[in-house]
Amino acid sequence: MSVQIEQFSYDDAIVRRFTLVTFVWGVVGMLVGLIVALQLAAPIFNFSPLPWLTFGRLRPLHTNAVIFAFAGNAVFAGVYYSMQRLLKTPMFSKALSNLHFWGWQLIIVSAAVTLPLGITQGKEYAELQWPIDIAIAVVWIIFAINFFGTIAKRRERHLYVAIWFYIATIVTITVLHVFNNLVVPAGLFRSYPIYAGVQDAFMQWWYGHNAVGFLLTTPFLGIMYYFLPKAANRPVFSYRLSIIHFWTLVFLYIWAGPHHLHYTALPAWASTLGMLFSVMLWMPSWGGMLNGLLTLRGAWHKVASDPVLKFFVVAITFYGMSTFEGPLLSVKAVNMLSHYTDWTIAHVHAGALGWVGFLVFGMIYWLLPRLYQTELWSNKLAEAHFWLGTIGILLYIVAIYAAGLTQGLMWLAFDEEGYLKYADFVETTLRLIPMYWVRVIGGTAYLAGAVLMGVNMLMTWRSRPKPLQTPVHESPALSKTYIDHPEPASPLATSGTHVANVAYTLERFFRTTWHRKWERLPVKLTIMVAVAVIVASLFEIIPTFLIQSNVPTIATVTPYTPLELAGRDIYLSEGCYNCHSQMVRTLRAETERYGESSKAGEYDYDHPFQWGSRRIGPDLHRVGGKYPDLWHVRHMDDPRAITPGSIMPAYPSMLKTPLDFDSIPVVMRAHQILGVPYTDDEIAGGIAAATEQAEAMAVEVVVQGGPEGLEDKQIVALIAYLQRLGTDITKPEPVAVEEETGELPVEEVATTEVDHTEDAS
Amino acid sequence: MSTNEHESNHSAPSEDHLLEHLYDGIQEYDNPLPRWWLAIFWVTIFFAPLYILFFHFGPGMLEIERYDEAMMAATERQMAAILAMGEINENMLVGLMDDPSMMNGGKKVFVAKCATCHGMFGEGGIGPNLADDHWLHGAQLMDIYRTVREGVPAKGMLAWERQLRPAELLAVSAHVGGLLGSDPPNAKAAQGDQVVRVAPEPTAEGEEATVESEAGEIETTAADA
Repeated sequence: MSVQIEQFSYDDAIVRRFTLVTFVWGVVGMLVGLIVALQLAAPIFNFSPLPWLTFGRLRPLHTNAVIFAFAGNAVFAGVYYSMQRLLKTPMFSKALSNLHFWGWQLIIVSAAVTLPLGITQGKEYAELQWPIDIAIAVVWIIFAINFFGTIAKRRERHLYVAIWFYIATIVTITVLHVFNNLVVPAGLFRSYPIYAGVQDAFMQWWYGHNAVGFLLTTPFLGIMYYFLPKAANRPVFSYRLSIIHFWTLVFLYIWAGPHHLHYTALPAWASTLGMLFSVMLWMPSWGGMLNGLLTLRGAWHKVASDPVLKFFVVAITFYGMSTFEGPLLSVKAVNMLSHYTDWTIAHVHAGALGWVGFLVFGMIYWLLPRLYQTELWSNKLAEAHFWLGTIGILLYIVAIYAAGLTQGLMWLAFDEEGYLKYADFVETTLRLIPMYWVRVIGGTAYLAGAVLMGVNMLMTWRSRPKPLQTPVHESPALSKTYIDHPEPASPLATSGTHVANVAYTLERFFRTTWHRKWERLPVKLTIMVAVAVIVASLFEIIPTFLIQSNVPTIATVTPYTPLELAGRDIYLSEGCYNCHSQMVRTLRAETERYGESSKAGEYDYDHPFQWGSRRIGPDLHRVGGKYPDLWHVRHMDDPRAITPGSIMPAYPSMLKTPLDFDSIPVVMRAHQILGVPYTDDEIAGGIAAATEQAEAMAVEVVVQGGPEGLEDKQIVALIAYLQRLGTDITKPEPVAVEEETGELPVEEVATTEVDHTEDAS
Repeated sequence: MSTNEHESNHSAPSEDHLLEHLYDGIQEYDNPLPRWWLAIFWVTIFFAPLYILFFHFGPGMLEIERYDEAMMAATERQMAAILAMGEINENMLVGLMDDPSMMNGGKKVFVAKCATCHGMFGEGGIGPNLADDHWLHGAQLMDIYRTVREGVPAKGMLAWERQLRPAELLAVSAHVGGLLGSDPPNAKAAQGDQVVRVAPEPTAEGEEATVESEAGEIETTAADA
């Protein structure tokens, strides 16, 4: 066979660009993080009466910026650098690379604009509105075409483990993004998911958990598998371990989502599966940690002198810690204490600051001299970054673990007479304030470290040779034919018994010698990854959707009135779910504090669900009817006038901003399409009905001694929604009314509406 | 991990077998899976069916069953406490004011549930002043108890029997009764008619003296507060 040697060079310009924006968006995301941390320590930093910078709107900006802008761009930088070299080819298309880059930055900018404006889908980490979601899908597909195109023209026969992890990322993120963002739009800036209540909760956490798995774990494991052995100049510890932990991780991760919904209205079987698969996920995750740390055998002396390896070692250590803590938190008995507290926040930040952040910093410090073909400007500055960052993480997580445990224990505490020991929610908030200040200090240190890296980047860039060289590499093209190494013949081939042959097959399976062939068949590998992910998903999704008929429906649960629906939009838009849950868990302490435990049937019309994930303020599912309307008016205007020590942002503008009555029919129509039983007449009369309910409420507020002229302001709609929450199950059964009158359903609806007005008053 | 320690003495562990794979200079060892790793993995796998069998099909209690049991136990405890209290009447409520544990509980309930509208010390706010001698819905302890329990929905006063347990209703009513004349700072202007609270009729057992002295104590205690 004649071997044709080909010449080629890598496109590092795209890597330089992605590296730069990783730093820029990283600083932006961390800065917003610092602001929201300050807002929790001192509510004055919400800058009210301005509506754009409240915690509820900035927190999604922080999470989206660090996940999709910082981590996302870092993944692209790492993938574009490593895959060209691992496959011995430049990227498939420079044009696609550039489209990918600019498209992604445009998406980030649009997120940075829309989120502070309150344009949101109201689902965590999936806040971006549907036009942006479509843009994300398009750019992701561009990336995928570029990625698989590059694989197709590779000059390396077999795919290295890093590439497998990248494939898993691309395939799974596509599936997650599409199926969690299926919505019915109501205009450009509004949309409602096709799922409601329990099912929406299930889909959201299937997405939310696996976004962590396949955007913050798998691509970074791929990056670790490339950059760590390169930086340490050591072989990877175990090829077999990488095979086993890759496949088990990909298959098991998908099941674990429901562990975010323990003790909720989610069916118990789903909750159990979520827990058990999370526990099984422990060792597959640790496989990555072991392959990282044990690769450093014989290179530990280098760690002391090389800041890159220092960052990697701490990153992998935090990965190990977080992936032990994840299964721990998924155990129901632990979750009872940790859920809705800062414990989750500490867990996430150990992963984000420690694992993702430090791996990215290590990668950038390793890349800088190579991308700019010169020495790193200052190793000392990189060392300083390392120590600042480490101290920052430790201050952050120690304080926030303490905060989580403190609040969790306070919520569950009973006194010896059987009363809640801390009946007043704000007591449990006030206790956390000092720890929130420590977090601010830790976050500042971490951000300062990142800024030092920026200085190092700038100075390294300035000392680059001009122009930068473009080295040319050589490699033979892949031949069309390839013969795999023969598997060793079974010593039992002719003489072995049946049992011995089975044992031998098993032995070979576990020795994973079969896998080598898959590594040169990217299509097969990709399909197998997709099958693993999709099959695992369907095992949980299908029963969850079939179970709809089994979810006990509650006869008294009716759709929201037009005004309540408009109020719900304000609730979503302000991001109330960032601090308030709407889920009274099946725990006695919760029933004592909030009221009867929440039932699945109560959420039939909730597009999207609003169960929340963190209670910075109290649960709101049973808040309906708890306080008079005037209480809510005063409380939204100035929370601290009603509850001294409250850290809720003030919303004085809601008492002045006119309510958007005109969009009510559009929103109702979207809900009708989703299956909410609004009749066409009701939709046509939506504005009139909303106006009527709003006027009645405004009169009541004045009677109670409150301000006049609220009937056309946002506040009435929001209060109407809040007063409705969780009240349906205590209403009289409508069946009796129907039997007595035997009248048209129109009247029945009218009766229900009167009921709502009464509840609201 | 002991092997690791052992091996870290050598820069190139002799027992490791290097595979022929080479990706941009990266090589891989053919090391087996660490035994402890594999062992724990199998344990977590076998744990799953055992857990399901025990909790979903066996004697283990699921979340909802534990919840129901805890709620039942709490209700029983409350019922026992109520039965021990006897019939609810003016005398009985006056008697509660002597029970420090009940008054303590009542104050806690008041702070948690009532203070947002009636003020921390009953001085009034969104709701009326509870510490003066003007009353909208009756001045007797039984009137207060009824108002707390059934609410005044038209005015935004919640029917607390839906949220508070019987003992809490009694305790908080007694606490409100004890606020009379406490003259808290920032008091809201009086609403309703001025009504004098009538001391309860002596009971059949002849507790006249006790009841009167208790009634007197209300004012003293309240004034101190």
